[in-house]
Amino acid sequence: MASNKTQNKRLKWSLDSTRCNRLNSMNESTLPAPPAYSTSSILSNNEVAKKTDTGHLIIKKSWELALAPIKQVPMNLFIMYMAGNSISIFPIMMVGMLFMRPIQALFSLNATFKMIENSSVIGQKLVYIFGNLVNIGLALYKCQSMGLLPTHTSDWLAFVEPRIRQEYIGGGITLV
Amino acid sequence: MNIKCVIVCLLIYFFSFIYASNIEYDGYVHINLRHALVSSESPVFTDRGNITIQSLRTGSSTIQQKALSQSDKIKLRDLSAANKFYQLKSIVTASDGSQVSFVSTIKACMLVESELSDILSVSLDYSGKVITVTLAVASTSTCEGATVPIDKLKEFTTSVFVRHTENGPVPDTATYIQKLEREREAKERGEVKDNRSFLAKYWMYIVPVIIIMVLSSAANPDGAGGAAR
Amino acid sequence: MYTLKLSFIKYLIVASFFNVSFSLYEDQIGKFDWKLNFVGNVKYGSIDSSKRLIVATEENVLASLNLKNGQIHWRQILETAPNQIVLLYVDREIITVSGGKGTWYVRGWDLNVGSLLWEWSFYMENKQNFYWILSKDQLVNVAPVIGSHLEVTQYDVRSGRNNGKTVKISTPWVSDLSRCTTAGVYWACLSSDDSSGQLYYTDVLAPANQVHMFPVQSLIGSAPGRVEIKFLELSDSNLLLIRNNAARYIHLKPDLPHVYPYSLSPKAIAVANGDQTLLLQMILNTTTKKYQIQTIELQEGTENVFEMEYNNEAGVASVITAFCKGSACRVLIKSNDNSISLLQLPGGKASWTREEALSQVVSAEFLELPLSELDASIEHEFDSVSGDRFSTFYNRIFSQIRQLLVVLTGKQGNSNIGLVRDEFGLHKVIVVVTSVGKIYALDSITGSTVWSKYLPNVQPFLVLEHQKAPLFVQRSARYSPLAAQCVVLMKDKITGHGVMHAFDPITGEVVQDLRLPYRIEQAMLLPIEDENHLKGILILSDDNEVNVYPPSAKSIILKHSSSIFLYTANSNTKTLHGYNLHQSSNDKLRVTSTWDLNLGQAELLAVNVRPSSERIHSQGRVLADRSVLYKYVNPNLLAIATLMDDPIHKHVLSIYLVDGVTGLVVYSVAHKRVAKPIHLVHSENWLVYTYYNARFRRMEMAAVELYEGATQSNSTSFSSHAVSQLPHPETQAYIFPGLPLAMQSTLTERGITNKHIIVALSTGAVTEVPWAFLEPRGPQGTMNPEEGYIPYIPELPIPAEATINYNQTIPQVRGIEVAAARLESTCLVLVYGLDLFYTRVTPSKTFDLLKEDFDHWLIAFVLIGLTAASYITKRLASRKALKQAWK
Repeated sequence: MASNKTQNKRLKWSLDSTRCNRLNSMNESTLPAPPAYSTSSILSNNEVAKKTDTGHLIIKKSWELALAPIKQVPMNLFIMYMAGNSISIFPIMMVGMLFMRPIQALFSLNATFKMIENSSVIGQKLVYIFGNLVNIGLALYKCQSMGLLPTHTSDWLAFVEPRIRQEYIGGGITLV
Repeated sequence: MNIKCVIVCLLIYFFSFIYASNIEYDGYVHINLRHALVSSESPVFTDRGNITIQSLRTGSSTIQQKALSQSDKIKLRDLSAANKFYQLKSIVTASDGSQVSFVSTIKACMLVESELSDILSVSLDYSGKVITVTLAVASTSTCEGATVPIDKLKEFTTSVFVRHTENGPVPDTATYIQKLEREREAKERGEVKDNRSFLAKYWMYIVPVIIIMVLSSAANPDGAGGAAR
Repeated sequence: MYTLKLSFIKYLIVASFFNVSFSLYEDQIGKFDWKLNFVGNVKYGSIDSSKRLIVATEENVLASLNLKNGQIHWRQILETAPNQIVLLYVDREIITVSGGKGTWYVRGWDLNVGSLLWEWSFYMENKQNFYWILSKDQLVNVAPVIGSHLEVTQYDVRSGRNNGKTVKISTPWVSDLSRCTTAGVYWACLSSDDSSGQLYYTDVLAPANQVHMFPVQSLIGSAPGRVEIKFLELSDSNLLLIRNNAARYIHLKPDLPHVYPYSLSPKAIAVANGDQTLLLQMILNTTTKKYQIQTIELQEGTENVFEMEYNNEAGVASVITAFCKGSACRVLIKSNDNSISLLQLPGGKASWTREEALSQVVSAEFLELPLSELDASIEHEFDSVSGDRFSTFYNRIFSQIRQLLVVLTGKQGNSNIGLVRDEFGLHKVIVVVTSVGKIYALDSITGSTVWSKYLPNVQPFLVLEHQKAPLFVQRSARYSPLAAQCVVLMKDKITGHGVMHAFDPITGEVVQDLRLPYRIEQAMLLPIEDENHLKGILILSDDNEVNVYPPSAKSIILKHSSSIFLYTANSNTKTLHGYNLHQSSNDKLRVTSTWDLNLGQAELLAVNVRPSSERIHSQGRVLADRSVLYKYVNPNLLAIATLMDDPIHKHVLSIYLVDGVTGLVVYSVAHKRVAKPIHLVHSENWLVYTYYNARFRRMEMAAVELYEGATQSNSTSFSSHAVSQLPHPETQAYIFPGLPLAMQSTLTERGITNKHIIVALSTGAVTEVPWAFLEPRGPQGTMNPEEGYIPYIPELPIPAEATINYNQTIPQVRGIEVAAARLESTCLVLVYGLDLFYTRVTPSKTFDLLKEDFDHWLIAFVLIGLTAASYITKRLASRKALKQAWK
């Protein structure tokens, strides 16, 4: 398992090293193998590695995809900070973007994960959705701090109907 | 029931708001309460009780009211069921011996629904003379006739509130002049040079820039790629 | 210095605030407003030449009218009542004596421009009746002391120099001043009011002061009946002895008085015609029921009778003055409706008529106009609920054809073309009731009279020293084909019984004219309509009986008797009573008392309720932390102002806010050391009042606002019986640098627009004060200004830009009537006093209206051009693409 890991880690270099290894295998007798080095498993291992390589790549890629929204969070926080709480065209546009991107991303969830075929990516999807939700939450928070959310009673004041009067009075100062 | 308690508490709070500092008068008032339990053109008032307000200034009072007799209970229940008005006549005897009487009317059903707990508001003019006595029931809504079991109508629980006349507002010139003075001072102070160092003055702008730089350098290899997609 | 500069900057901010919201461009003068100028009820008149007519009126106005057309040439307004003009003398200059309460002013005026030439005044302790004689540059003041003597003081009329002292003439025969008069330099009295008495007279200027005495019988013979004495207008040393409505002309002379044999009317006047004296009087021809003017030449006795071509339904009261040259005369007559007309003799034609009753408006109401016939027919299409398909189809086709016809011919239907509702509801009819009992309907666009109607023998009610005639709108013109209906209540001049006049406000047609057999104590308009959309009138008679008009509305009252309440405020007993209605045993409606309020010794100054048509858009106020403070909107709330004498504080003004249904005093406040005048404006959840602060000697304006708190106890319905929490008040006071004569708050259709308070000032300006300036800022307001609130300034600014009548002075304002247009931003205002002024105000600017200079054509052209251009370029582009494809 440990070797596997090292193999993986040194994937880029594996082609060259195998060539070297082949040379080395010819001179097997001349030099003792370094400790913990086994020539026998390299070839077969390589075959397996090629297969798992793409699998790993895909998984890695998918995780990258899944984590992208969360990685955006600090950036978004920064944008939010820069935009300020005043209500003018640019902050509004920024807030709009903050909203639009995660929502669009959520709608195109399947398209995004389409390239990762035939492997189950439910975990990644969940993380991806979570990340986007976090972003939406951030946008909501921004709206809240800008005072755009109708969370106060005053926001519903315009819909309060005048009360119906139950009694009527009339009269005035006596005319006699 | 709970809501009612809250309302009564609120009312008590509002009613008992006393502007003791302005009150230049004091005295006692004796109120004889008589009520009419049958709605008619010329109502017949029968005795209900007596209230003595020992001090108009503090509003402290003693209330003596009899329990309702069985026939009165029935009358009251009928009045309530017919959605008629319950009339109260208060004969006020002031400390100088003068006597005035006031009529006050409430819906009988509201009184019955509140189980005979009512509020008597004694309004005074600026000199401490009673101008009116009004009976009220603490409630958020009115009713259109109600029947309540007769055993709930036992005794009146009356809260008495003395309501004073406030002193009128006066144009607040002093504060305004003070405000102008303050503004002038502030302006004068504003003209004094700010001697703080560059960093001390503008740290709030510099720190974010540094944070951006740090963040972008850290996030560039992965984060930038992710963001670009 | 610095403070001054700062405050100046503040002022600039405030001024700029005003500048944006109101003010008029020069070319807009007279576009939205009109003003009718009046002189008032004419008391004295004098035709100066063939060009001018000088009049002095009960309203203390001295004016010069153009004799040709009756237009005001110049007008001077003297001190207001109780001062009175008591003498008008026109020669090379005009001399007036006016005053009252001990101080008298003698003034000389220029004839041509009306400028004040000289003036002097004097104070007379004597509070009795005064008589004034102007004789040869000497102004003589005669002060009779009954049963004893006359005090005669002479002044030089121009300088006021008092030559010497007051002369006392012993006149023990003066017993009753109603039987005394001055005639030229003579003081004449009758010793008794029948034919058996004596006529005494004495020359007050003669040094000897000889008293002449003649038995009345020897002068006019003996006959039963009351004998009266009257000075013959416009003559010298002449008087009329009147018995049984027939008068005899008596010329007083130092020795024997000369009696002329003509039978005159008590209202006859004498006119100089060259060196002749002409007697002029008005007689009613009993057969034709037409007025005639009779002239008698005094010396020769030739009589002439001229027919009058002038007709007035009110009847002619008197001849005021006349001017004759040979056989041609110009006669100024006054009718019972206070209108004055100039007649030309011998033709008898009226050259002009001035409706001076309009200077005595006691109540006014704006009324919506009916729909045009076409619009009405379209509305009616949807009226028939049971409409079968065929008739609906027929209606539709019919109205479409009519619409088409209108479009083609450009003509409206037949009936009253001008008086139809416009799109924005700016065109209305203003019904005004005047104190003489004449009702006028004015067109709100032009100010012209649509119709007028004189009610004989009526007078308005006197309410707290103000004349009032309740005017109710029973049905507006909204429910065509049912005509609109109004009711005005007045009282009979003689009996004091109620008079009810129901009429159609658009056409003036009388629906019913009732002389009621009882006095009216109070009246109210019922809130509920009957099946004909007519709101009933409930009239409380002085014996507490309730009468209903129309009688069919009684069933409505009985049905809603538990929700209709009445209150009366009695200024004599200083009590307020609340009543509810119920049917008594004998099938009559009666009232029973529900609450009492005893004001003690305080004087009742005003009782004010919110306008019933007012709508409140916002139910609360948004605080800085975005929570809501709900308004305490009580439609039954009465605002009562009283003033009480106090040994320490001189006068104390108390303001009570009382629930009119239960009598609960919701809030009360007292101001010490204040004085009249006091005005109240009550609207939404606030009250604004002005008073004179006697301590600081300035007018102050205070505002009270009532809030329910952070929650609404009941969000759906409001009942006065359900007292769940008392409102908490917020108050604030301001210095008001002006003397208000009348106040009113603006009213708009839906109550979205800001509120302004319209204040008529004693200077003749009518100004707007935004409610935002007055709004109490709360206890912490000055420290922590909430968003959008104007910082508190103790002295309210009255910038010139806020004057809605720009440079047109409106004197003696008595009231302001407002109405909402259908345009939310606009409020219509009628200011009435001596003059009538109508304008419209837009407290939040015309936010719902395109600017007048909005270029419709430009925007249309640009739009069409752009559309066309896009189509053309599209085609061109496709062609090019095609060509490119073939290459």
